[in-house]
Amino acid sequence: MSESTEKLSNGSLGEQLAGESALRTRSLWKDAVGRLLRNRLSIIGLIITLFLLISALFGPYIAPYSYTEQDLLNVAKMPSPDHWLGTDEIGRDLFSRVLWGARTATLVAIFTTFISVIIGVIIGAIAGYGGALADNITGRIIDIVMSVPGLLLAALIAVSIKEPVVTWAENIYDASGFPLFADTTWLDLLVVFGGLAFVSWPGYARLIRGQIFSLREEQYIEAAKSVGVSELKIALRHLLPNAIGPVIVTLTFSFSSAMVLESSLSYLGIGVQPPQASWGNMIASNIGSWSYRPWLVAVPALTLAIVTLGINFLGDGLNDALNPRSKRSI
Amino acid sequence: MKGKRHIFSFASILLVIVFAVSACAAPAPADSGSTAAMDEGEEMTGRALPEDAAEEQVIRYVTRNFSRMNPASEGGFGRPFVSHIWMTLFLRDYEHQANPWLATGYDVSDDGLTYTIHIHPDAVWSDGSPVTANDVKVYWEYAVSPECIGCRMFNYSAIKLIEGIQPVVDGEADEIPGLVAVDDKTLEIKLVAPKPILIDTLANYNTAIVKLEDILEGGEMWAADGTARVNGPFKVKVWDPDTQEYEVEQNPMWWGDTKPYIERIIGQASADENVSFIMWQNDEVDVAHWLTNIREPLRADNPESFTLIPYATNFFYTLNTSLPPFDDINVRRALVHAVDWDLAIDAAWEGARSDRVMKTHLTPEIQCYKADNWPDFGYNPELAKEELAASKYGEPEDLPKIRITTNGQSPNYIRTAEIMMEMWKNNLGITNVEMRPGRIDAWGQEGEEVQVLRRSSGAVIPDSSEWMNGFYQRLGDPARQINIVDEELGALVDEMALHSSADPEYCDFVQEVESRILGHYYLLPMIWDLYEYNTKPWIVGFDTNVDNNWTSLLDMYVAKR
Repeated sequence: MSESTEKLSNGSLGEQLAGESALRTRSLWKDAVGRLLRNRLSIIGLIITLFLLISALFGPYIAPYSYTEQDLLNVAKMPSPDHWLGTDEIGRDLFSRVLWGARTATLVAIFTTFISVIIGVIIGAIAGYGGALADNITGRIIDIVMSVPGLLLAALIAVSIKEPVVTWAENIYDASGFPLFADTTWLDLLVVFGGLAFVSWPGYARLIRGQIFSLREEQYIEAAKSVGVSELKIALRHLLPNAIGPVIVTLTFSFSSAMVLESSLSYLGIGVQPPQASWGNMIASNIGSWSYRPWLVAVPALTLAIVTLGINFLGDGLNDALNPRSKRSI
Repeated sequence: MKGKRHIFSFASILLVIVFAVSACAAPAPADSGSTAAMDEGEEMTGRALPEDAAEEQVIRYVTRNFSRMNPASEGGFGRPFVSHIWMTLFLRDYEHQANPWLATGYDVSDDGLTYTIHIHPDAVWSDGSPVTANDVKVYWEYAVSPECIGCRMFNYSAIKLIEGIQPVVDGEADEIPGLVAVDDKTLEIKLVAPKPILIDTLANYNTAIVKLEDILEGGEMWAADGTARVNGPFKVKVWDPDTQEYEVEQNPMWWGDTKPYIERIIGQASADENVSFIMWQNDEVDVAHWLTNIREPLRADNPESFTLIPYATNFFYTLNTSLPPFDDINVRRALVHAVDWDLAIDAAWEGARSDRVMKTHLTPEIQCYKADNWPDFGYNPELAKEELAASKYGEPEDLPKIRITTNGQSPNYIRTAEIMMEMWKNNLGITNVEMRPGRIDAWGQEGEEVQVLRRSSGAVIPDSSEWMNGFYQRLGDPARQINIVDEELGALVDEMALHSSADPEYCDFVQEVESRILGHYYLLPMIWDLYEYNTKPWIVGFDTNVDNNWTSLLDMYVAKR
């Protein structure tokens, strides 16, 4: 009897393998967390991102004023104890509007990114694992969608399909009195940014497709096939979990891009409409006075810049942490 | 990967900073070029400059934008000197007095129906040919015809009364029998009804005389360039909205006794008033127009630089009374009374229009102005609540959605709308209101449902009756989307039009008409706008009129700095 057979027979090898496996699992995530926390820029990014999320979640409760509340006798005031970041040109508290703007930006970013990821992962998985025909068809769909400029699509949606959706919601309100449909402003956002999400998924689809093409040649996939595991199970149990790391990294960059896109659209007057608070429309409404009241533009612009940079730092850190082959990883 | 991203991030920040810094820097001044303004072999002899005059007599002028150079369609900011390139028969001064310009004077028949205009005997085109009464006749026949694209001459009510003009306007005839060239220098204008403001109308830049042959050669979208024949003291050197080059220079064939000191005027367009202001601060421009919100900081530092343009304007939001909830006058009244307009305008215009709240149509600068001529106008939230309750809608939550368009991206209009919305919410509980900055197409398919539209009106002919007539016409004009019919008011307007501004009853009629128009509560007021020029201290003798025209251009000069 060989040595290994001896160990197996007395049960010690199984325990040892299980123990090593558990150790490996813990080590992988520990390594990732360790890498993330050793990167100072990642920590800064993490703090900024957490601060953003807390602001988005609790900002309206801690904001000293409503985002629409006007004090017309105190317009365009410099920062003071009553108004930490000053007031805008119709006397609204800038700090409160920045906090409300954080909620707008975060909601739009989460919404857009979430829909993009779901669509992208499904289509990417189909392309990567569905054979040549599926790959061809999805590849052409991806090409078509990527040819649509996002900003133009948003403008098109704003002037074409928003009205039927809003009318539909108003009819529901007229018929049922359901309070959700009393104010249809949120529907505007849903339609415009939902439309943006529908053109943002191809990046994820391509990423997943590439990952699957690479992973499906791995030995553990071959092994699973050889023992009769179903294709669906292989895709869900083995391929997707192993391909998701790069998606998480891309997701952070998409998140910050979505925030910038929201601000861009609001700046152009397509996205969030006044008096709703959005960093983009705060910049737009005060851009005319940048030379003599620069803080009115600087506050939302710097907030957007800092948050975007912070999320990108975090994305960099995640990239290092989740990609052991990265040359700068530890 | 990470390193590349960092480099990309920092490069992006650097780019933003560079962009911001470069945006702060104003465009370089236009090349001043040679001081020799006239062509070789010039006809016009120079006028001796005053002792304190600078060697170079060039004015650099910045304004918001320029359109194609054509007096018949001019609606932009070439108008300060357009009447000095192609002369109008008369030219207004600051006090609205129409003075002889291309014409030496006029006679009017006792019945007020026939005007005899005497054209200056020395007037010649820049090619040396005389300016004749027939030049005026054939050009005006073209200017009111459908061939003249974007031309505005027929908009004036006095022009509409010229005998036999309608078939030409409709494209059914070429000649207006009411325009008769009696001889080379005498033009007779026959009206079908007396219209005392005819001479005021003939002082407007849209009636300035262009050589018809130039237009026929240039086609329907004719725009003047350096080859266009002119009859005034200046000519176009280059005027090209595509390349943003705008310059006029002295006309060497100018026939008048008074030669201008100014050799050239260089225009610069700037859509951002911050940039215009930096150009002003850096002395890159001598005359600036359209410094709006930046005006008050500038006035605090440099009050003497301002010259008020005596222009009468209204800026307001109209209410479409054929769409709910504005089909009920009680709702219209409630929305007006629920807003503290003094406070709103003070904030929305950053203090620059605090004394210009539009409380009537007529402005203080114009004849017959009467304060408080808008019945019941004023901030009264209690009255507003009662009016809303008395409306057929009753409660604020029963009002349909109110849609507002600012018809432009001006922050002043947007702020006014935001303030209105907040006051309606606080005073009446109305929350179902949405505002879209920009043109009505920002609403897409919802455009037809927009009830509140930002509008403006200016008294291009400074005549109160004429302006009131314009407001009355707007009420029923489907294109204006107000849709109010008031036949009794129409009869009153017709009666008003029969009176000249010299009649003792004139102002009674005008004020009665104004009160009844405003009594319909068809608008949400903003301001009587205020236009001013800013001039540097070395620009001597600057003056303007209601048409934004630099009326004193012949006597203006640039002093040594």
